[in-house]
Order: sequence, then C-alpha cells, then structure tokens
Amino acid sequence: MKSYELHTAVNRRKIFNALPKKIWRENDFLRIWVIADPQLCAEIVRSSQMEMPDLLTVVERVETTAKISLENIKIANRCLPALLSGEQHSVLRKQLATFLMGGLKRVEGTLPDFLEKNLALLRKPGIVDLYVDIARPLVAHIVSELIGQKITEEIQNLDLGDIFPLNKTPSKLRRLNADYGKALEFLSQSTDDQTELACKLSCLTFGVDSLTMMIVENILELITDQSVNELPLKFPREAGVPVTFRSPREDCHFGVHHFKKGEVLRLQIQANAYSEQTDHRDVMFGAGLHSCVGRQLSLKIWSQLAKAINAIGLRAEFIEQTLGLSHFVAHYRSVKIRVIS
Amino acid sequence: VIEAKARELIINALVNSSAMKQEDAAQLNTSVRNDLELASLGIDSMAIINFCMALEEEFKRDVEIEELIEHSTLNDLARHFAKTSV
Repeated sequence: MKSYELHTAVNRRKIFNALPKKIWRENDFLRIWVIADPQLCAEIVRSSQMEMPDLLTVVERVETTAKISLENIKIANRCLPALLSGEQHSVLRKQLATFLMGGLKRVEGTLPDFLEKNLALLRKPGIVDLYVDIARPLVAHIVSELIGQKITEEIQNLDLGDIFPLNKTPSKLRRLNADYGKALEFLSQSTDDQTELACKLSCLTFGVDSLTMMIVENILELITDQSVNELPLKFPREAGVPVTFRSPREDCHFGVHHFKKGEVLRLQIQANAYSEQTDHRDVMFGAGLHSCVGRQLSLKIWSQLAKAINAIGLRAEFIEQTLGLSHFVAHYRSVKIRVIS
Repeated sequence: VIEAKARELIINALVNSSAMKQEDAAQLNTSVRNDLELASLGIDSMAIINFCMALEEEFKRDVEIEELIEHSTLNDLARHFAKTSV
C-alpha cells in the first residue's frame, strides 16, 4: 500500500496495528517521513522545534520563476491560523474561537430538526450513499449556519484543505489558487470585514472536509466493526483530520530519530485515535500551538449526531466507496451502504 | 514521448533547475543505462520546487507530487513520463 493512501484505507485500524514499522522514510528525494507512532505524533505536534511547512516561501518562489500570480493563496496564508505563527497566529486563533462559539449557537438551534430529516434514509431498508445523501447535506447545513451564508455545490466541492500538504508543484498551486479565488469571491458576498472573512475562510477550509470525514468514517465504523454496537457520545472513534504535516525548524532529535531542517513529516495522527491510551487519543484533534480550534464545536456536533444515529439503531452493510486522491483527508465521491433495518 | 527522450527532458529539467551540473548531465547522457537515484543529488526543498517547475516546462503538462514519490530514479521516472506524456 502507498503510504499516502494509508489514511483512507478500508480496515485501516487493523492495518495501523499491524504496521511492521511506525516511522519510515516515504521518499528520500522529497525528504518525506511517515510517522504512525502515536507517542511520537503527540510529541511532535506539541514541540516548539516543529512548525507547519512553509507555504509562503514556496508560493513566492513559484510566482517569481513561473511568472504567475498566486495572490489568492497568499491571502489564504494570511487568513488561516494554522499557517501563521507568533502574534498574528495567536490573535487570529482567538478571533476564530469566538467566531465559532457564535456559530455553534446557531448550529445547535437548528441541528436536531435537520438531523431528523437528514437521517430519514437510515430508518428504512435500502441502499444509501453515506456521502451524497447523509454527510454532504449535513455538512452543507452546518457550515452554512457557521458562516451565515448558504454554501453552494461548487464551494463544497473545492479542495481547500489541500493547502496544507506537499505544495511543491506549480500545477497544484495554480489549482489551489483558483479554488481559493472562488472561495474568497463567494465569501465576499456576505462580508467585507477582513477578520470575519478570515474566520469564514477557516470554516470552509477545515469545516467542510473534516466534518465530512468525521461523519462518514464513524458511521462506517459502526457498520463494519463488529465490536462497535453504538457510537460513543463524547468522542468519535475516527478523526476528522487523519493526517497533519510538520517540518523541523532546525535539525533535531526525538528519541532515536533524527529529523533535519527542510524535511517534511507526514504525521498519521489518526494512529492516535486507534491507540489504547487516552492521552494518545486526545491528540487526534492535534495539540500544542496548532491544535484544532474547532474541537469543541466538532465534539458538540458529534454528540448530537451520535445520539440521533444511536436512536435509530442502524443496521447496515458496507457496499463500496469511491475516493479522490488527497494527502490530507478523504475526498469522497460515493460511499454506498445497504440499510438492513 | 519515447523513454530516451523523456530521460533527456528530465536531465534538462535537473540542469535548468540547478539540481545538477552540466558535466554530470553529460556523463549521464553517455548511456541510457546510467541510472541515478534522485535522492543522491542531495538538493534542498526549494531546488525540488524548481525541478518540478522545470519538469512542467519540459513536458508541457502538470506534474503531480505522487509521480515523484513513486518513481525515485532517473530511468524509472523517464519510463513513467514516457508512458504518461504526449
């Protein structure tokens, strides 16, 4: 199996447990490591020796050499706390947390009624597409409530989360720039306040992909894992963000492992969700400076969703799924199940 | 694109992105059997971005990061680009 497909593999809980090595070099030329060790993932995300891979320098290099404008990515780079550091990061993170608190009130007010209708297909026998019929409309509803603007099909289809991993090819940056152009144009219809715009862009970048993955993967687990009788209300079993990336600020050691400045660490943070240790599982939402700002919001949404699905007593079997490639999340096209009763 | 041509274009991309010296390229060009582990070039992350840009320029198509992850030697990458480029 290719390491960059690990995070979306069917039966990956077993695959992760059976990995002969938990830390390995994915590619020597690109200097990418794969880390599937929960303890090391936890140490790295908390470490001040690590930072998010530098996007701005890459973008500026490509702009200068290829003589193209990647202005929309540069705007996104100023808007997303995960890509910032220092005072800018801290201020924007607080603003985003406040923005999400306001959005959560709106979501909590409308979610029960929406779930009642949205989950109706899971109450009767038949074939259901977990992504198309359940997760996609649910995420559209949640994100629309959060940003106070109804998101369109086109906006929901953008791969904005791909701003985080492995930005090395001009073609990818051009696509990303076009996607962020559409997102910024869409959001500018509802606000011209730069802080609000930044918070809304964060919701689109993280909310759409991570909520979708959290919903689909946890329902799939309920269906496919015989040991799971109902969904846990407090904490999902599967992460919404399965992978994150870090780079060492300088050459550094973590135990016996030596990482050099400029290398890229692909942290398979979903391994933490599969760990028996509570302190490891807690890290599936990240930790340290760049921990998930939307954690509380996600857990509140999760709790309502899990309660609603448990009330249905869902019995179903997995049929098939189609995914697009992503190094960051699962880009679903279709996830079909057969509801038995 | 035939494999030998793809190989030549990749070597051009390596030279044009300053990842390889002209004399080393000339040595590689003496025989298609001379292979090269790309990692042995020891180039930094910015040079890799230059190389990706040069590849897109040489092959007139988008280059995806997975192509570089999967094909780690010059000849392997040349075979791949020969199959996937026009």
